[in-house]
Amino acid sequence: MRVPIPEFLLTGGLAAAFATLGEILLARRVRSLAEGNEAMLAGMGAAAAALFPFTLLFGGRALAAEAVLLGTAFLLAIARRIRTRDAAPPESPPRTRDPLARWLLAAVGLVIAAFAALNFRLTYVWDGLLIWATKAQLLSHAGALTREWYPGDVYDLRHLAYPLLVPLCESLLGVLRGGFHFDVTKPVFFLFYLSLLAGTYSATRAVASARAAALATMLVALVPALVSGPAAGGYADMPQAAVVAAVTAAALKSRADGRSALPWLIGALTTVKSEGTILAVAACAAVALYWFLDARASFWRRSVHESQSLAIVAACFLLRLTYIRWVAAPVDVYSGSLSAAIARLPEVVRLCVAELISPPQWGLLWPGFLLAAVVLLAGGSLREKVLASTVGATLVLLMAPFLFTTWPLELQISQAYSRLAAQIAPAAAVAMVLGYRVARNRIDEMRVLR
Amino acid sequence: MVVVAASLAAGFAALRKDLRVAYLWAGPSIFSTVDQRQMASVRAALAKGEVVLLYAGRENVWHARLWQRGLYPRNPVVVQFDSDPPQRLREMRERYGIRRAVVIGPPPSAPRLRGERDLGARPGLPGSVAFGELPP
Repeated sequence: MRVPIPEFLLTGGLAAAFATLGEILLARRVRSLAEGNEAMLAGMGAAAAALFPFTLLFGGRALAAEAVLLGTAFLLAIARRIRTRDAAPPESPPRTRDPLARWLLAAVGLVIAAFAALNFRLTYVWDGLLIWATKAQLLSHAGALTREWYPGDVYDLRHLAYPLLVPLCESLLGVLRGGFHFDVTKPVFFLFYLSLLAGTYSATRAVASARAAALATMLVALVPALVSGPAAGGYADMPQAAVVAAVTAAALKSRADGRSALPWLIGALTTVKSEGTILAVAACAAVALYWFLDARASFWRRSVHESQSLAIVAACFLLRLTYIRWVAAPVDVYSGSLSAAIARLPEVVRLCVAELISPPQWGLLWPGFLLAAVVLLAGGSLREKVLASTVGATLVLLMAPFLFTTWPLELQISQAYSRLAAQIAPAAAVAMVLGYRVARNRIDEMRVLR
Repeated sequence: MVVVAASLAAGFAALRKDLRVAYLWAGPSIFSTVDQRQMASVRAALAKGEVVLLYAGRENVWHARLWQRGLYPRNPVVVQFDSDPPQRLREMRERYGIRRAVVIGPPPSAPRLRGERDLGARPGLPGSVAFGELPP
């Protein structure tokens, strides 16, 4: 294992700078690890979304402008902390006395150590180098977004339109250390893995016991696509899952001050991977469905009341779409006709379901989720029902790109669908432990009635 | 319990497999010491900013792309695979003023280089890497 210590520390500093930017955006001070994670991802998403307008405004100094923005946010946060250091101390959540929860968290700690051992030893796996770190190299060299790839490459031009959160983090690490280098960006992925687990724990803990939260965290920590080769090899699917975990946490938590990170985090979904836009649409639909079912009469009033949140999400969608148009990258992988898409639907569903029930890839996560979803839809709270139906619907939505692919269908689904499904595994794991809780409560009630 | 046990089995099996690969095969850098030595030789022979051609077979996609990233930004690399149309090679040479090439393999259709230097084999992989001047 080779931990690049300076870059490891610089990544910590970068995370703190993103969190301070998040604090400014959310207009609230971080008081716990969960809030720090939320603020960091909100800051990252905003910074990644801002890279395109910064490119238009500052040209080749866009990356430097990002660094200045983060540096300023960091200094402001320090100044504010010095000014208000006698204010209320940070909240620390009550420590669990549940021994099983502690054992589970200790086991999660071991999995984190195993991931670290892999992450800091393994070099890049295919897309980790050829897409994501490459985008970071090009961004670092140009100092801004460009519409060019390496000279002469045509097929790879499609990667230009891919979102920028992971390359931005890798490039900013390069700025901090005085130059981009492929071999020292791995601390970024360790940070995302910790964020993924913190988000999952926080999401479950918002509505369930510490034991349930530890269990959900354990399930997510062990998803092969999130802990092994692709995650440690520099792919962006695990960082995308980290944002999904944070979105789930923000959606399940009620904040008395009304300063939810949800809109910023939904916006951040669009900045990690292309399919993040699909995930953001699913998240918006879930919020709208919840508002509608919660209080139909006040749905429109509530929408108007949340206009600022809606504007944040809309701005992120708009920036993403404008960037895609600006890049004008060739779309040669997904260009099939509608009739061809309909004809291949049964095959796509069959192949995707085969991926989801593959024990080496998932254990029994998705069959377990299916059972939990049925339980939640039958007897869960409104929030739990919306969570279960959103995860289920998103699994189906993520099959849609394969209907239009120009690649050999079986090859592409075997290479991609599990990674796409892994992005929503945190939400599925939360739904699963909530479903187990509902089923157990129902069984206990029936015993009492007998 | 069954779901947790299955997750443990799947997660640890995946970790074990990849840890084994990582600790048996992964070196300290994405560029092996041989890659670094070969790239340094080529870099030393090229002027700053000079575009170089890399010719390889499709079985060497990873290495071709690795070289492209390893030499960038000092020397942009145009990759030509043996399955690409020869016309493209002519176009690239004209557009970027390419005079010299790295050949990995070499594939049977590779251009014959003048003043060819054999940069040696790649550990564990068939074929070798050569560098030289393209014929006019």
